[in-house]
Amino acid sequence: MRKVLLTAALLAPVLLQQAAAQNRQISGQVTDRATGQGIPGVTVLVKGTTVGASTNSDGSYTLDVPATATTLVFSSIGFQTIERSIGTATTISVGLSTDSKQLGEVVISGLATTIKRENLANTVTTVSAKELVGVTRPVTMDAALSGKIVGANIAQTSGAPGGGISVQLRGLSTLTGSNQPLYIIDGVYAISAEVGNGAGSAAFTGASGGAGRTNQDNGTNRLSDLNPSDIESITVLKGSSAAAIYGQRANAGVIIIKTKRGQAGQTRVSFTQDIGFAKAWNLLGKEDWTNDKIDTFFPLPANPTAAQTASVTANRNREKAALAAANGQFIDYEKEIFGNTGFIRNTSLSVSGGSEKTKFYVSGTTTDEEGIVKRTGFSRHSIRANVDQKLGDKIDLSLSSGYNRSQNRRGFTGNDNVGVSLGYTLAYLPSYAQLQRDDLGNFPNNPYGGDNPLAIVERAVNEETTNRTNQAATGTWRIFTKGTSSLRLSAQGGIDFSSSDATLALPADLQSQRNLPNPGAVRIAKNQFFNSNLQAFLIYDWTLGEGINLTSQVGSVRLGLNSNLSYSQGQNLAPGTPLSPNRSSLVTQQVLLQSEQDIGHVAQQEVNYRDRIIGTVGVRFDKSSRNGDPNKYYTFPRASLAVNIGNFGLFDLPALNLLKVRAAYGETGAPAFFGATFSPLTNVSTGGRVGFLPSTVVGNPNIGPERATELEFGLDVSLFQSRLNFEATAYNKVAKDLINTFVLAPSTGVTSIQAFPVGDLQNRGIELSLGGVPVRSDNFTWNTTTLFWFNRSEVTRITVPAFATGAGFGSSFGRNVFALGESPTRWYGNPASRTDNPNTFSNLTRFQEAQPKFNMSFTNSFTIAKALEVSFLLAWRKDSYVSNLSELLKDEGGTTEDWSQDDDGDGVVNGQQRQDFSSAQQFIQNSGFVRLREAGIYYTLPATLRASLLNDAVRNIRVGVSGNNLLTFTDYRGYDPEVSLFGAQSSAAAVDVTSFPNTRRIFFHLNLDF
Amino acid sequence: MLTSPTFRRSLLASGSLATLLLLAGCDDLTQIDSVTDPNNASIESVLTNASLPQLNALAVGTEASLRLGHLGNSTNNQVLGTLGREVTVLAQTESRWYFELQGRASPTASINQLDDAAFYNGQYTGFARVGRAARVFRASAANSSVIDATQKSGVDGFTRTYEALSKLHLLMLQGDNGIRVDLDNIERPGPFVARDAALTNIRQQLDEANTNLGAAGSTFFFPLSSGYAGFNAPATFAQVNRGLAARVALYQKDYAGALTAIGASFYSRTAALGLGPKMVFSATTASDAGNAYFQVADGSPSALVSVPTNFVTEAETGDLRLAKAPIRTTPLTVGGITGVYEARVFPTQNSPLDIIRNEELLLIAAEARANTGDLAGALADINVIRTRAGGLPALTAAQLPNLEAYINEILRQRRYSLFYEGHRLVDLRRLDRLRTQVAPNQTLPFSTTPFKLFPNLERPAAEKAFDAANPTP
Repeated sequence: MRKVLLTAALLAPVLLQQAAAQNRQISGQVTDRATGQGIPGVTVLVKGTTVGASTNSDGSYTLDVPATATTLVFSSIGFQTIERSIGTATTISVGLSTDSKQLGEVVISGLATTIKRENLANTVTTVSAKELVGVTRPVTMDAALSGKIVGANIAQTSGAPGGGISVQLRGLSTLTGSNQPLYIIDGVYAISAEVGNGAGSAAFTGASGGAGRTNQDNGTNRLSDLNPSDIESITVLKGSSAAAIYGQRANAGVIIIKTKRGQAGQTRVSFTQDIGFAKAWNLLGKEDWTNDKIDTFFPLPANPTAAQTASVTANRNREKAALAAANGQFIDYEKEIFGNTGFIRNTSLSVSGGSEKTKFYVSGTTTDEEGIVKRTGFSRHSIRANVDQKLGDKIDLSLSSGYNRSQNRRGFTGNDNVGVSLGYTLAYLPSYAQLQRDDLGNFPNNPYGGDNPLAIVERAVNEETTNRTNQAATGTWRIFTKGTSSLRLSAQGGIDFSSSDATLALPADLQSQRNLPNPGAVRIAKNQFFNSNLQAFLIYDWTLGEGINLTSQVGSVRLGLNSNLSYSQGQNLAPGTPLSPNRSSLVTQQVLLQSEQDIGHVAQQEVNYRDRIIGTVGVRFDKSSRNGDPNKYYTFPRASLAVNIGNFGLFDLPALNLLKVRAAYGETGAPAFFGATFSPLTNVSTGGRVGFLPSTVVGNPNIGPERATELEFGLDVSLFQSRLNFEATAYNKVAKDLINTFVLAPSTGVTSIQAFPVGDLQNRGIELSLGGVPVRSDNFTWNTTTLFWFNRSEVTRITVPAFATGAGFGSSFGRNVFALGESPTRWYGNPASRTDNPNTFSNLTRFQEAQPKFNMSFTNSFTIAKALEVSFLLAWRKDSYVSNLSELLKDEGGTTEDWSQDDDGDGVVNGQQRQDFSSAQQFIQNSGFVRLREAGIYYTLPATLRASLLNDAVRNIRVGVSGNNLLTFTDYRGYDPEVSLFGAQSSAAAVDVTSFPNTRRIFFHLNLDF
Repeated sequence: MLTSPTFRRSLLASGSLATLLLLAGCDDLTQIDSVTDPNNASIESVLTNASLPQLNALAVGTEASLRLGHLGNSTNNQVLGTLGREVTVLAQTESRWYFELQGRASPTASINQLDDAAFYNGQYTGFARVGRAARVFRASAANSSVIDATQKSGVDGFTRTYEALSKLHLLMLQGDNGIRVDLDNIERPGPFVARDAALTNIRQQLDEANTNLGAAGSTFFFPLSSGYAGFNAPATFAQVNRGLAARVALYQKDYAGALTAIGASFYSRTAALGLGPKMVFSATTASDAGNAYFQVADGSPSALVSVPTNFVTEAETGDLRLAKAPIRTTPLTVGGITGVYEARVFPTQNSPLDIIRNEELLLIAAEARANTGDLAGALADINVIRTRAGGLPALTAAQLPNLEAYINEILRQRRYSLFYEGHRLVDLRRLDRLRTQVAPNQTLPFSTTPFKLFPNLERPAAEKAFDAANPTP
């Protein structure tokens, strides 16, 4: 016995070695537990090794495993990672459950590195393609993010086709620059500017007195060019502590977009067809007229003089005659203009696949949306090709290439001083007016406004076409890999070029034009942007002793941003077409060139002790041509620590997957805006000579960047195999040396120093996220996520006189003020009183805060019988305040729905009582809402039915119906509580002046996979 | 220890990193060129050693700047005209023209004070820029080596006159609020001074300019537009300067001083009433502008400048100056106010705007003479205006029994001769007659509750805030 035993003992290692040499093959299929569909691209890995494979398009895989292997690990983004022991099986098929928290997923930790989510020290939200557009089809990519990111206030500022979206992460971060985050698409610094075309300039709506581009142009955001269905995932770095590695571009946060890439395996073809329609979800309505109402509408003053009586009587009689002439024919002009249904179509085809060496993803999408106003709409055509190529073992190359062409026709809405804005004119248009086109095809004059809105719809032009291409190339060279250490060089370059051509035109024979000295206006505007970036990083992964993993990286980044904004405008147009400045006598033009360069150097060290303690320190040195000294480096440090208490093995709680406390600190910057250092002499001419006129602003040659510092704390808990997840974060972000104009005494002829460090602004907030899978069974799964967040702002330091911020319309309607101890988004307004408000800006009365008390969103999806999927997203914005002028306009015009009613019974009708300029409270209105933002039902045809119908030619058929903005509950008295006249402006405080009504959108979907 | 594999790998890594940093050290990649303004010239480029063309351009800019207060969404003559009830701006899309600016919060309620940051304060900055343009021109000329002392004196006289004009316009908007007069340091301007002190300062500046012009030789080296035809040399420009000085003296009630200034001005009972320097316009020239007060006849623009009926009903029969406010073919009603007459002072969008003209000098002379006891001289001036401007019969001394009657008559002639030029409010204010019944047969419409008369605009919010943060020691 003894001998035999000994022999066995001696032989055992030999046997083992032989076994190790003998691989065996395991195959199987990975499916979605909820739907039973195969999942492509799942990583199947032999535990403890680097041996693995990916599933192909139907979820199947084949893997040669070493005989020593005991366990396989199946992981994929968006699904829970599971392990299966191999035993003696040769076939292992598993079903993966969707994972609301995705602990195993990797997220960005440096410009060239990633980190496992469970080791993150920041709250970083990642939105998958499914979350983004899986339920319904919002207008644009950024609209699709709404309610899906805790801490992000995303508002749809315009209902016009092509949208208009404002994204704000953790409060205001700047006063003069853009509060919109930095967008990175496949490594390319994307063009995300919202640039107008001049629709609000003096020659068109005249909303602004300016001649060039204005902030009242109702502009489109360049993000609308992106095709949402090409997006694989979106990662959001909300605050400076997470975004510090992006340095001086990241004060407002960073949104990192990855487009879809191919998977090795069978070629997969996917076809999607959506059709749908959009309709204004809310029209303001009208009130019809009687002789009595006309009498009320034209009141006699107290103790009228004979002249006053005569004047009022004349007015009443004239309108009564018009009312009688209408003969009971009341026309709902609002319905006629804004009440149409817009047809929407979206067709998408993608092909992806490849081998282990070469992978590709190619797609083409065409979207066409009609607006609710006739002759408005939006279309986008895009193609994308993403290719990944391995060159030997050492080098990986990735190319991402996208081209799109988007067109929009937005019409004229919003503020106005000429009479062409539709909403503005409608507010004053009584229902008895008869403005329809006559038999000869002419539109009658509108005696109640500057122009006939029906003629504007038919004849005014506001169109823009954008051609855009973005190209990115990434190369990784694994210089060496030995044991647990490796060194690689990652280089990346990209460009984003966009060129927009806009045509604005008001033909000379329009009512509003006929009375002008130079009737007729046409403008051809061109907005060109070219961004380029180049970066190189060395990354060294190594270990120190037992269990300490380190990642070191250094690298440099260079950015170039150039733009050319120009236009040519003609006034005093010759009759007829073409509408071109060539055919005018008064030609004005403008060329605005901007160029800037940024350079940054980064070093970062990450330390991971057994996934228990994860620390990161990093620093970035940045310089920019926008700073006063273009070659001075500014330093932006970061440090973070995450402690995975759950991994210490202190307690044996199988239910506890993750218990982590984390803290992170980081700094980011924002250089001053282009031109901040200049003191221009503007051109002016008189008497045929050209002259210099000092501008109202002077530059600051010493200006440095704004700097945001942020400290973030958090607690993450995950229980019951990640079926219950809780994430809590508190942050304190202080934007220091905020750059703003230093308002001088205007009598000097200089209104301000263009850029001056005016003070500090603190943003503090809480972000909570609770998610989970309350029910998971074969036939019913319920996924739910609840997000809750709020932000509070306060000016903590001010170095200049208190000043007005934002873009309000003066004290009568509410304005925002930058004053010590106050929020820069709080409303102030009339009445002004030295006795009641001795210490406020201009003695104005303090009103409510524009930022919401809190935001909440509630997302749920149910999968029933593996075939039916029901999802919805409910958004709640509590008590935000808007300066709303829309109602006033309608009250002035006598067209409000309840104009003649007398709610408080004091004998003065509502419509007149509300025209009260004594207090701005009348106009500062609560724009809180509860909105069913997204809802959808999808049905996947059972395999048997599919096979009997199509004989296996199609692998998957899915149909669905969904909606956007289906229900809205709000007390707000305007078209939409989210609208903002000034678009994605720097201040979060919105102003509503008859903006383009927001829409409810309903879709029918068909999705085929081949 | 030194040769441990980990260490060697670290060394290799560090070496690679260093190489990368060295690569990054190349000048092309790490140097940023300083960006100069690709769109405009800079102030710095003229403040030292300006060339002759640059100085000429600054002169053009200074002359052009005087139009700024008459351009844009809020123009001087419309705002002052509204406050003085000469015109009613019936703006379809801006009810504040006929609500706030006429003292109402709503059709039935009054307001207590005007907004200090509304669009209708816009011309304040416009006029302030005139002074700034003048100061930059003066400083650039002083630091330039291409012109001599005589030529510099010409620049001094020209720019000080414009600077005074800038302050005078600001004071007309602000009235008893006063203005700042010490404006050389843009970051630390002087305090606000009361109306009388401001007038004194303006007068002194005009006098200083006049002295400078006296030492400026026979010609200006810089160009002036055709608006200055006849006034474009130091000697003739000085006549303009004296005309302005007469205006200021009148506002100061320094009637003797006004008459002295009149004597040195281009005042003439026989010359054309329209004689005087002008702002010229060319709507179709790049970076030039059109005359914003021009309106298409009988149009229905979104903002119609209408004229209250009493302007016509209170006129003497046959007054030719009623051509400035013809009746519309169809009245236009906005916000319950009907415009029966419209302002039609200018025939085209390129019509020039007077800076000061003989017609006003005659009226200044009349008022100054009446107040210094020269009633015969005053009557002669009044009758030049009545007969030549109004086509009205001359008055006899018997028809103007006392000084009050003279002042009433002069005020009336000023109303019609200087209609819609920003004078009415200023006249009523300085004569303390801003009330419904101004004088016999002269009333102010829209002046009883809920309407309310304001003598001036509110001091701009930015000025208040600046003083709050920079209290005067």
